[in-house]
Amino acid sequence: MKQSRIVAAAFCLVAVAVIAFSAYRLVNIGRQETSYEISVVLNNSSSDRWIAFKEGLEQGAEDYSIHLNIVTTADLEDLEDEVAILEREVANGAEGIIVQLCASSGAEMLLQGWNSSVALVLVETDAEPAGTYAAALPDNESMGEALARAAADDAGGSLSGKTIGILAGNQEQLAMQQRLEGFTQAVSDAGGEILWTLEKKEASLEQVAEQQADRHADILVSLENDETERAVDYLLSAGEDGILLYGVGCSEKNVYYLDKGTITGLVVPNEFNMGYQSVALVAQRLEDRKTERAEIGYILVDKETMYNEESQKVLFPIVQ
Amino acid sequence: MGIQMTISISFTVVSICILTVLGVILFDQFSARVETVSIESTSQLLDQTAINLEDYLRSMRRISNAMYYSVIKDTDLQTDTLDEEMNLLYEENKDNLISIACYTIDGELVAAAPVATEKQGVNIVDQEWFTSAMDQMENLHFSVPHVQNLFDDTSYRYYWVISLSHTVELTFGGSTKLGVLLVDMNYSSIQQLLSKTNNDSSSEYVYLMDNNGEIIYHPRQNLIYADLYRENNQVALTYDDGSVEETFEGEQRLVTVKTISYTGWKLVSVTPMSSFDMGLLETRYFAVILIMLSLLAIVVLNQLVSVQISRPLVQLNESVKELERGNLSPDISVGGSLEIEHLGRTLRSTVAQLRQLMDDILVEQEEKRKSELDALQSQINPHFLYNTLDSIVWMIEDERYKEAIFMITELASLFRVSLSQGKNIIRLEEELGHAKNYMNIQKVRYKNVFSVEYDIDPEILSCCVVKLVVQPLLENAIYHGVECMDGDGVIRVTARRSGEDVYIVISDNGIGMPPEVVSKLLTESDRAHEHGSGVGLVNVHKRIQLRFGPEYGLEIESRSDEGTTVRVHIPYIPYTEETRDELEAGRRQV
Repeated sequence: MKQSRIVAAAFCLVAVAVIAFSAYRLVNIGRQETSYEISVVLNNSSSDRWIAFKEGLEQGAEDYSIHLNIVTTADLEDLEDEVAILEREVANGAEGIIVQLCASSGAEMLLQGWNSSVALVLVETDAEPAGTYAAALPDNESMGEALARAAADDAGGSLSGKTIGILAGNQEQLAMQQRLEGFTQAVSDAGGEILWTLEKKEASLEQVAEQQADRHADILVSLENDETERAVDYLLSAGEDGILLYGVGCSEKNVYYLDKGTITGLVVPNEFNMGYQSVALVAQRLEDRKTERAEIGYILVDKETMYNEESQKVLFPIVQ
Repeated sequence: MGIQMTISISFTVVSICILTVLGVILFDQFSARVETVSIESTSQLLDQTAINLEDYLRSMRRISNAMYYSVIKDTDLQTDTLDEEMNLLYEENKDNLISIACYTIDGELVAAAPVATEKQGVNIVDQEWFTSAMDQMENLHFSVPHVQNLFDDTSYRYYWVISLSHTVELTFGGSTKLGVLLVDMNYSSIQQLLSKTNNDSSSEYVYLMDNNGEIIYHPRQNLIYADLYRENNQVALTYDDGSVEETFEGEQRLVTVKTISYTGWKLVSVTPMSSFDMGLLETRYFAVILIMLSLLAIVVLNQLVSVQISRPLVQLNESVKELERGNLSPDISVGGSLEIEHLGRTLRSTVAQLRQLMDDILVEQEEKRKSELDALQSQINPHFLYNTLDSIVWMIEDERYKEAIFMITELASLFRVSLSQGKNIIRLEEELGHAKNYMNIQKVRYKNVFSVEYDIDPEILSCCVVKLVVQPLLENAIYHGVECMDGDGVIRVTARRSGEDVYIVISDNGIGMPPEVVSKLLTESDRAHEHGSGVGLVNVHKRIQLRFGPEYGLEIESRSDEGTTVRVHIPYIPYTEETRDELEAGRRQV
């Protein structure tokens, strides 16, 4: 009789445990999965160039149950200020940060005391030394090479005898350095001559005009979106014919002037992909899956190819 | 395993099996029903979406037809323009339209609404909507979504459109010329229409593709463009309208296809089979809780029922165990169901019968013992009586009447004690009196060839003794001890109390016995008696032990030519009527 009671009691215990477990799962079944708080810090966050990127971020946030906070910023020029923004976001509860660093050198020192439990993903540009952090970025050197190759192709395969002026963008960013390096190397290989190079901090319209007045370049090359817009503005204001512009960019303005023919060739990174992959990287790091890098593709388009089926998908991301 | 456990486990196992089978069957039925309802619901949703889409496309066709049949056909472009009517139509439908435009067969713009600047250097005739219209002139053509490449928008805006193109006849001064009417539908209208269908958080979704399998709308279209997501659209293109199950990238899916009329577009609903399970997850947990609660109730109920059934049986078993332990008066419980109650009653009655039988056996054994005693006692009488009467006869023949009278008187006394009113337990005084009567008779018979000495402690005269134990010993002392001695034989009778015991010692100075004979005296009950009454030492010994227990009886010491001493060992029990009755009935334990 005693044995029977023990068996019955054991069975009841098991049944109660199963009921408790099922009730717990039943109660929690409707609840949302854990939603991570992620902050996104971009240079000039309201710029048009981020439209596709933000679309990618939002799609990624939906897929990975992430709550996004895109920090409103103007032009970020000082890395310390940017790191202060990151620290403030972490203090406000951010579990992950997606950031476009305004300067790559010195980032490691500033981020030395970074709370390792907060996932950090760099976009577009890496930090020095390269490969220290998780990053979603295109092959910047290759993009620079692509610009040079496009210019050479349009010039009949060689840049021999061609003079080039470069709007090199923010050269404190490793990405810009790599683009410049890739471009100069390819130009050198193609026999072109680089007359001048302007970095972002000195590349006002006047400076460009001054440089052109001093040493006239046949080809202008810009290595980032804003610089491409600046080059477009210069060409429109100068009214010069015969100057070819090759640049990197994705903003509506740049696309428009590509369509208009002001820009001869445009390298467009897949910004949607970069946004989506950066969120995926954060999610993976938060779940301890150590995916470190995601390489983002890019396309080279001109007026003729911009309406191709594949080009349209990158140039004009459907906003849903 | 106990009966309760057997009953409990059996009931529980059967209950679990039944509940599980019922649960599984009901859950399967429920799942199938839910799946059916879900499929019907998906089908209805798809039908509704298709109706909305067809309405939208029909309205676009109506715009195109209205423009063509009501405006273009009636207008001579040499003298009139299409602008006013085209603008009116555009304004009326501008929520769903990006533009309406009409081109000549050479790609020259005839009219457009809203008024916009035409892009320079755009080759209209090579655009897909234009070539499609020219290829099949009698039809309306819907393009896949594309970015409009017609007009210059200085606000840098570009529009995703679906182009509806149709070959038209343009009239120029009475002569006709082919042209193409283009209605660019705002892609976002279709996107919004289909987004509503995909608005819920379930994993089910709807996408739209054209008749070549090109995706027109997909909730994850950008991911597909970025190669981060794949759709099985080329396979779905081969499906007829209706539902079909497929496996795509390891996932089981239910795909429902609905063809949109006129365009040949296919609206495809995809429902992962796992979503049915997800939907049923709550039900599954709820069912588990219900089943477990039912099982708990069943286990408790089983316990109660099994206790109710088994308790009378267990109690009955305890009674039987008590019986096995030797208790002939166990408390046999009678209860439970009718059958068990009957068992209890039967057992109780059986035990009563058993007890009665054992009592009967005891009585029978007592009777037997009594009769044996009687038989033993009766063995005295014939031998002794014969010898004594023979002696009396001889006395009378010799005219020794006084001696004869003495003998007869002693014999009478002897028989009085022998009879003792049928009692077996008598006072020691009576027993010794009887012995003296006997010895007096024997002394006459043997002409005083031996003498008898008595040394009796008066204190023990009133204690209980089995009758006729001393006389046979005296008889043995005479026949085997002093009979052959010429007047020197002495028989000594001593009776003393020692603690709770009484010792009656009969000793003689006769011929005695060797030790090997002495050792066999109390064991060989069937020895032939050469002399005397025939009542041997063994008989006396047994009678004492039967009454008082195995620790009592005779002790014999003898040496050849020195004599023999027989010691009668009995307990000291004062004689009363009660003690006598108890000893007689065998109830008294010494």
